[in-house]
Amino acid sequence: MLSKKSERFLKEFRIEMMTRGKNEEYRDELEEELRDHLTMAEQNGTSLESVTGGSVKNYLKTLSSEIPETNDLKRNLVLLFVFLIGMFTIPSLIGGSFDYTLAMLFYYICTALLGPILFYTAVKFIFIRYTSLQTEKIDKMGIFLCVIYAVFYMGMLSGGLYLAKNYPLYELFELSTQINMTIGLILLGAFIMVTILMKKWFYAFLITAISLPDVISRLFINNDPTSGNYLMVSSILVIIVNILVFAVLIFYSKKEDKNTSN
Amino acid sequence: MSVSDQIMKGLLDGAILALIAEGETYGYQITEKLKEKQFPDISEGSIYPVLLRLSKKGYVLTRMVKSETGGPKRKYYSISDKGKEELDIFRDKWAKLNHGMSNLLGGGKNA
Repeated sequence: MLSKKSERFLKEFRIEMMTRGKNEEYRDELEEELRDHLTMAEQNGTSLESVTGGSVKNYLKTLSSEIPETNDLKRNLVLLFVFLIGMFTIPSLIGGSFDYTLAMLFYYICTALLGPILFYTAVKFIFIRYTSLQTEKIDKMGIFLCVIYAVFYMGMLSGGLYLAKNYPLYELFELSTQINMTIGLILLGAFIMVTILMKKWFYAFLITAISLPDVISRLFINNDPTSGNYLMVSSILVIIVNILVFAVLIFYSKKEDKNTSN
Repeated sequence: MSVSDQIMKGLLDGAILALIAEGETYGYQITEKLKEKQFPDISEGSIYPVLLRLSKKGYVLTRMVKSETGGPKRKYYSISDKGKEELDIFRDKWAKLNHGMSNLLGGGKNA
């Protein structure tokens, strides 16, 4: 039986390897091997510090170059942030409300720089405290914190966008709504193609669903994005799309649960 | 990293390979044997980067064995043919280096 201190070390060690995208097979084997070593060492009166030095980060540094990485984590992170930027850009480009201002430029730079840091810090905090080492599943409190964090994060993105739109600082240039729509549609097409090529169907579906209200409203209802008809139709479509997205999410989560239990 | 640390790092690979060549063994046992043979300045955890490196180079073969008492799985190491060849090269180089260094350092002390 390992001491709590060593258990915590192993948990943090595993999560540190996960967040650095280390190969799963190596993660499992190394964790088992260290567990075996620490169990024997503790039985013979040797401390965790004299085996590993005590610091997870420093110890992993000595091993890191020997453990291969999988590209999945980095690829997913990049895709997530490209998706977030696309989500806040493409619909407003198609809808004709996109602004080419200095504040918007700052907003995108901050999203790209702060986003990964905030995401990494939060994920690590939640994983270390609320993940089962054996199943690698987050407990209920962890899921609750994930939801709170997601709301806080989306709030920051939306709040930042609101500030950038209301305090433009300096207008870089202006394009006609027709050109904006064309750029938006090209970006949407490119995004869908790339996500399909990467076999990330959910991202392709989500960006289509988010952009669809503006595409339909612009193409079939009215060309003026500020008209009452346009706003009403796009709002109704946004509600329908939200319901659809949640239905798809629930369907896939139930399907996954069923597969796991089998 | 100091010169002496670099020497130790290089020698540890050869020392661990030589221990594995004595017979199938596992991490904790390797550290115990290193202590027994008075291999200097070794922290227990520092053998794992070496074991990973030896494994990646194909010098050692590994297998995970389930514990019969419900404890953690144990990873066993044994030497491969490629590892045996590498160990022969290491022994030869070490003999030459040891001879040369003894001449150098011994000579300096006597002067």
